[in-house]
Amino acid sequence: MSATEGAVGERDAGAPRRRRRVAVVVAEVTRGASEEALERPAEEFLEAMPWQGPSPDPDGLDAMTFLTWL
Amino acid sequence: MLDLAETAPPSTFNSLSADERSDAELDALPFGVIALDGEGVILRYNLYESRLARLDRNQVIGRSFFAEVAPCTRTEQFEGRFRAFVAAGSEGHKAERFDFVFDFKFGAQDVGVELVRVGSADRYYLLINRRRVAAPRPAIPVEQLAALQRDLAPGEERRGVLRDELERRFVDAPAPLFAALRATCDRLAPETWQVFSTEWGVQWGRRAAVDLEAQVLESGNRSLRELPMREVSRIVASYLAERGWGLPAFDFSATVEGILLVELSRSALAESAPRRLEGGPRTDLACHLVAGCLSAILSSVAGRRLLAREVECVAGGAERCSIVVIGHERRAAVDAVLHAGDRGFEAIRMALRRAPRMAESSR
Repeated sequence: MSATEGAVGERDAGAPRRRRRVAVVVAEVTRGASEEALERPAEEFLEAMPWQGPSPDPDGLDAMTFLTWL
Repeated sequence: MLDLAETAPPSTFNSLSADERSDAELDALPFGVIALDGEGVILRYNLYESRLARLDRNQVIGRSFFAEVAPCTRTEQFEGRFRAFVAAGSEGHKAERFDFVFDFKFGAQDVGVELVRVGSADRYYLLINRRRVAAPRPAIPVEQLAALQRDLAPGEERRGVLRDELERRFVDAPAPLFAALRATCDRLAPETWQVFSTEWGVQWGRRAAVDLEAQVLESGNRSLRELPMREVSRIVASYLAERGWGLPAFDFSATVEGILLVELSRSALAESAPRRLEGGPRTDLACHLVAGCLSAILSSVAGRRLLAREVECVAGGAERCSIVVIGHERRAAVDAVLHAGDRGFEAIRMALRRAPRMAESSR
């Protein structure tokens, strides 16, 4: 038996290999929002975002773009 | 494709349609689904149930739910009700609901159960909505506790099998495996890479969302969407970071414009992407898989269809991998910029500012 085979055999003879995921320190992964906003429930936070795009300022749009938006 | 509106608790799920769903569709649901025959033998078992019961699907299919898998259900309240439901045949109710407590060796789970009859087939569905997870109840005799994975497979061949702390089997997938997959795609059908890997990521993300919901339920009896946005960001970032995909950071500075930016540092996909050769395939965007995963997780939390697109990548020479998340309705504007060869968050932001506000297409 080769050294490699021996090593595999010894390890497999015991309990099954288990993985405990490495705890990754991800203390702060957010930026660009206020403390208060980040404390809001995620559903509420995401609900408040204008996902379709912000409402346009009628004074800053040409007529065709504004009509398209309407 | 599964409608996001259906990834809701059983109260809004058309339970009578359970039998028409594929296994993949059942796996994206955030509640347990078990199909039994009239004798109580398990025919189908979805991912959420597998995750919360900590049992391999392969080990429970074909076993008696009452006698082997969940002895805690051998009560008049559960098994008795099931037997009577089956005996009533098509003359009986199509569905019944009741409350129950599952007793596992690792804890007790307070659940709502919906028992459903589907068509004329000898097939019955249990839809199980976890409400609360608690410590084991000491008064329950051990022989009445639900089975553990090792109880069901005491002689399991250990060699060649890896399990995580929740008894789920996994495989070690090294970065070269993904490089090989990309190389295969480049060789056979290079134009399909983005679509393929994005959709793969979305399918992964739907299952990841189920996993995260289960994790959050176990740690605090709340749903993901009820947690503070900061905590959800940390949970999602940890999910990817702990599995070695890189470390995401959420930038909310453009939320007033309806854009969420996710910057991914040390992306495994970007770092394992094949180098661009003169005349060779483009490799400038490599993280579609993670983008797809993020779009599915964030869509699940937001309760609406979102789109995540990588807009610049370390693999293409950028300093960072940037993924924008927007409403799915604005997809065309982003894709037009990327198709034109422009890269980077600011290019996308400018294009979205020029694009008209889109009508809501799905929710």
